[in-house]
Amino acid sequence: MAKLTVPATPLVRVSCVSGRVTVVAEDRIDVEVAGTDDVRHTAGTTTVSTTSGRLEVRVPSGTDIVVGATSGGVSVRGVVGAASITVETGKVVVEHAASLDARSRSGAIEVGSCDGACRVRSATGKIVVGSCGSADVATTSGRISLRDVRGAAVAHCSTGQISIELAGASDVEAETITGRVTVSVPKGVRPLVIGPGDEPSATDVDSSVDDGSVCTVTARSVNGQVKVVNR
Amino acid sequence: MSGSSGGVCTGAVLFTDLVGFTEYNAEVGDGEAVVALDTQIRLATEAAERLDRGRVVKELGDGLMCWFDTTGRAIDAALELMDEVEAGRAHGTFPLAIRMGIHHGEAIERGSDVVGNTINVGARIADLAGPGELLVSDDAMAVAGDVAGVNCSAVGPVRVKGVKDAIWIQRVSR
Repeated sequence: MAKLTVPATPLVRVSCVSGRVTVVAEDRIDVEVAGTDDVRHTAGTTTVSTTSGRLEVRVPSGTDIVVGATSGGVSVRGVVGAASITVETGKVVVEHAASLDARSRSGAIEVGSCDGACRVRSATGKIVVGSCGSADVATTSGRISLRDVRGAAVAHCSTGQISIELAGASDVEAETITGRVTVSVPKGVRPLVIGPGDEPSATDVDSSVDDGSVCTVTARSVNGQVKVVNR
Repeated sequence: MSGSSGGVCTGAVLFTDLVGFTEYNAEVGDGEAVVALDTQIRLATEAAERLDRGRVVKELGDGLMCWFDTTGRAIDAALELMDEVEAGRAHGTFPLAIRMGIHHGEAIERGSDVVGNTINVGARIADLAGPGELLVSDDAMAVAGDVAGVNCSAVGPVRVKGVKDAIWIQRVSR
């Protein structure tokens, strides 16, 4: 693929109709684009656009990115700054972002680590986050797995399992209509566990942790087991 | 409302959707599920029509489509509806979260309905919202004027099939 190079900018925006988008953050001082010659550059923003085909954009580590694709998936490798990604259909994979807002109508979203706030939306598809500052995650149909959550966590799923592992004492709100909810807290953390209240057909919370109030875990499932455990 | 029957009108469309309604209906039965639908349309009608802001055009399954003269009015009504739904959930009187999307542009009036590309894009924006979220297109925000007390954060571009240019959207909250 022919390549274009422009000076680095704090923000890189990528828009692709059909085709896979790969963003690689690495030790460099410019932005390199392969797969299109539609590259617009201003003092603050580089905008890369294509209608079809594979697109690869290499940026300096820590660059903020905004990526939108209709189909084909988005892969972000290396360490980026604030990342916003929207995909109609296709898988989204992010290795490491300072903060993240990722959305897909159809497709799994996998995040290695996120230093700060991690907001993920998927209509159908699993959501997996390896580590994050705080989490705000929702899928209509699919599994949610959040590990090493250092801040507050909100997880919502209509059909599917939710599994949340807290790194410390943080507030959690987890809700599913059908599916199992499991929240694990470190040994010694004693949360206030709140069940589903007066909702019809709601299940009780099976909590094996000692009662406390250092943080609040609110978990509910209309039809599914809800567990809060120590690990 | 601007425009005449069968003519072109300009305004903002708001789409709402009850998150997890299908699964909820399967679990609790039709009776309870219809209560949720009735509550949604009652709250949305109150929010949309208060101060003559706009109107509920129609129900679409477990969601609604509303039309407003201006984006500012659409955002006011949407945030009011969001507050009412969240208060209901906190008090255990409403079972489901709501998500919403707003777009602005021209549409065609067909009787009491409005149709066109603006409507199609608005629906796709709402699809990307999560529970308790309101997403608004950049185009709509650009003509919103001063909407008091709202916070906006960029979400990114939405590519809608058949629409050449990406639609850039923002997350709006109070």
